[in-house]
Amino acid sequence: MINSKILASALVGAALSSFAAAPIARADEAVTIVIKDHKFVPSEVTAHTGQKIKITVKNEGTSNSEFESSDFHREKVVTAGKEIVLFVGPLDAGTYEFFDDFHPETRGHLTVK
Amino acid sequence: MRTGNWAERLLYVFALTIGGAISAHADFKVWTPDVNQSEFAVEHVGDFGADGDPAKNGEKSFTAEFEYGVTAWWQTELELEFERNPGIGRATYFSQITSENLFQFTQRGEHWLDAGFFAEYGHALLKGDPNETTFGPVLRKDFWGLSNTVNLFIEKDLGQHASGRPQFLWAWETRFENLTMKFGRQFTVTPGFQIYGEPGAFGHFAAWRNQDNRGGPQLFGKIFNLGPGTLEWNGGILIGMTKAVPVVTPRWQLEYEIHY
Repeated sequence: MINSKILASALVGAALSSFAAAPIARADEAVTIVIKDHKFVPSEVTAHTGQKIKITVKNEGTSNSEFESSDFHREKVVTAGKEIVLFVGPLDAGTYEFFDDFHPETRGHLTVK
Repeated sequence: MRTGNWAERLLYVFALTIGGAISAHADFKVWTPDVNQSEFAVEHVGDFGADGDPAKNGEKSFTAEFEYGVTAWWQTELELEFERNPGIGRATYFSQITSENLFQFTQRGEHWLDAGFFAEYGHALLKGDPNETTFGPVLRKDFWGLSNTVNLFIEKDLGQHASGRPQFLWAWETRFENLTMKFGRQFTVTPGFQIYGEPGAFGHFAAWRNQDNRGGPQLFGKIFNLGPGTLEWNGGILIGMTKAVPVVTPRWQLEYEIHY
């Protein structure tokens, strides 16, 4: 039987260590995408395999958008005039689609080589 | 408070309409450390326990929830909870109103571990029931195409009807994201599983056979562009791991995110 005091200590330790022991965040590559007139600019971006990718999405439109990808499993609302940052990868080589969930015809691709 | 006046009946019907069946134990939900600023969503979580033993059969709970991303790191939800205890001749009650809050500390994939924190205050509506607070870390680690999340919570009774020591609650979820299936542009489905445990009060864990431990396969999916929003859903069954709980507990969660 697990000692509950040990378990409680482990619980607190897990929470604290997740912040204290993690290495400083660093992305190996950076990509910037702008949402304007319900289009991604650029709509086709590239990155390299084995790299952590920092994606900055800037909404220069007047309505909210949601940057989302079912391929690399990220979603984030980008309010009008604001920007958000996402981290993905490392990803295998291939083409990953992303889209604006609020405006589904707005789509683009991340190609990883 | 039984489901008597018109407001309660309306909420009851709302939750029932979405869920289809009355269900139990509204805590069968795994929190992930993700906040979307300005996102507004309505949610329903439900389950019911089925067992051949009448004393363990028929537990139900379901919720109606209203969620909003206040900032980039804080999301708040108002939860209305309805419950039925197991056994013969039980009624379903509007049992609790809860303020749930999720805090996101790191961006997904930014660090070695995705971290957040959950805290809620529940105001009991049934005479003699205590108020409660539940809080604890929400942690996720993605690797090998799997997304793994753990909730490690402490639940404490509050108020004049409070009793006992703080309780330990835990939940685990794995999604096999590398097996996600896409059906056109509108549907995705991802397999996975969840496990929930309630070993008991700190310092006084119950014997395994008396603990509330349940787990089982789940599916996670999305339906994009369903009206003015997107429906995110998950559901499956939880198999009772001890004699203290129902043999099987179907559960589900529906979150409709409204685009505006």
